[in-house]
Amino acid sequence: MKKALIFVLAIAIVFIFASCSKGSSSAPAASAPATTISTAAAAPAATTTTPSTGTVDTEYDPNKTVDFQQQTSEEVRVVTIGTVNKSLYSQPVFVTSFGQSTDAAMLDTVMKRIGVDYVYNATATADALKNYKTVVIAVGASTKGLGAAGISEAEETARAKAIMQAINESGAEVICCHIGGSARRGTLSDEYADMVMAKASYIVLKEDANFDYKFTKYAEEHNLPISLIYATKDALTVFTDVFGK
Amino acid sequence: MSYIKNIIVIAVALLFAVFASVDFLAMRKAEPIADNPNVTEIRMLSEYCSGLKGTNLDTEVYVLDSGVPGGAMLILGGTHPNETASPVAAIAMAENFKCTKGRLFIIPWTNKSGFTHTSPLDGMQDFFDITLDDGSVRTFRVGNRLTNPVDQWPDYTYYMGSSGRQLVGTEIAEIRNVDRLYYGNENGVLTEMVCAGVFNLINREGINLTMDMHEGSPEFLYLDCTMVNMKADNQTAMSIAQSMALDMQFDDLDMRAEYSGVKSYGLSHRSLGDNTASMMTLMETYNPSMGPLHGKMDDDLIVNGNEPNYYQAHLDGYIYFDVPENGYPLVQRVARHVVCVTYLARAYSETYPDKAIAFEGLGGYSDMINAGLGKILKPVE
Repeated sequence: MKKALIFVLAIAIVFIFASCSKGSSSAPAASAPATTISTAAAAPAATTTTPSTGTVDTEYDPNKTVDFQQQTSEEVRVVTIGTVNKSLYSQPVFVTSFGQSTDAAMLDTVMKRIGVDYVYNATATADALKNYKTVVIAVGASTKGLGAAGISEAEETARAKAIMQAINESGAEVICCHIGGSARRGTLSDEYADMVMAKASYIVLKEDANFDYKFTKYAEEHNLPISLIYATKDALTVFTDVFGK
Repeated sequence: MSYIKNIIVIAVALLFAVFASVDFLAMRKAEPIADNPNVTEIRMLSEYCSGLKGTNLDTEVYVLDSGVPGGAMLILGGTHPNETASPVAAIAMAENFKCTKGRLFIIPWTNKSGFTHTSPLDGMQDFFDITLDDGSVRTFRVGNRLTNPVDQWPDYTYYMGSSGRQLVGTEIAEIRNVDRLYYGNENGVLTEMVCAGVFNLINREGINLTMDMHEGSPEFLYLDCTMVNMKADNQTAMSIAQSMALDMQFDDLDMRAEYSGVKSYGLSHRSLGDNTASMMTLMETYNPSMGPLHGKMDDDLIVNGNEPNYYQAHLDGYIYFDVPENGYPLVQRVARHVVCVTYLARAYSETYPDKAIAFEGLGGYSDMINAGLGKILKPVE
């Protein structure tokens, strides 16, 4: 009887201690020495990795590094290569998205703040662009964005192709806008970028997306002006210059 | 003789257990919130879901009514209590804000039961202190992201939430996670009643805009990011969020907006967004104490947010988030939440002037950083 009582009390104490587990300030739990993660993928200075942030098709490889010299910086926020012929871009402007990333909504905000006469429709069909002489297209694919819009990748690609066909027929000026950075690189995002750059007369690019020089190389080969921006907010500077009164 | 020895051992053990229990039970006492003359009413969430009345999950709703017609905003703090900046930001707002247009509802401890326990074997501590400018000390609980099993037990082996989210296997503990059970069920488990209370509050009060404040471990991909539910016919929600993000960027604060995941069933931004008229948002800040790489767990880690392991992991290319070398202090994370809420309300009001919401009291980001938590938080009895 006494042994049973002792056994029950002992079990009760075990449960009490378990439920009262309090971390103390000296608890070393979960500590992991930095040495365990230190040098395996160390990137040398002046190189960068290509991080994944959950876009459609970016494959994150922490060991993949490329030589990349960025031209923009905290101090030099915008670098324009070539001459932008602002007279090409008459208003009203149509703003849409290829890939349904959030970048088109950012352009909506930018245009609103500058006071541009514009219409924004991220899922516009080709017909909607008929009367516009300037079209700004935010390129960049987002699984979440496509899901939110209820559009499949195939449908979005078909819509993009139809819009480019309509632009070919109308002769509208196109500004290719890639302001989502390296997170908006990948097979589908690049497909949209290629589609739009083929007709664009100006490219606006958040420079970290240029880690493989894809955009500057294209602009150079096709004699297109390109504005490299350091951060998304710098799109406001670029578009103020283009559309500002 | 051996029997007496056993009794002595047990008596000593019980003595330790008593002290530990006193410490453990102290977590059931909510930290006081300083009086704010601009708070027009403090309600209980049970007013919106009667099943919560008398339970440890019933929680305070601070109401700041400007008396000026406009919209209504709901701010959820402490959905996950261990995401420290969230409840502290909510408390800071409840103590300092004055609503000048429309109405503001603030819930500092959305999962109040979650504040009453820690994560066993997870190296967590139960309290942390902040010294105020007048020398007094305010103590806050760290808590756990889930409801205390003392309040809701057992976890079922299978559960289908109102959103359609199924909980099975290792995910079943999420049946005690407020942010998996929206839009709730008045007749469900207690945690689900909290969700139902929030859902009913949004509907009954005509809440136009909701922010659910969170933090994430450094490994999480959506830090300094606001999730937005874009209803199928309303692309404006994302534009409002991007306007907020742009404003924050001009304050030199990284911020981006992302669409709510299509299958994020049960999460506030997804399931409240889908099932109410409110524009739903959720913001995350970096919290190194939540990640598995954290070292010594103490006030310094929680309040100063300095974890060299994560800085090294970032340098080595393992952590996408730009981990600051000298840490990411709680005051910065709190200020970021306050600024995000403020700019979001401003962008919403510019888009919908007839439903404008405006408040003041904590200034801008740099004002808060300069003031520090010692000044932002008010002395209490």
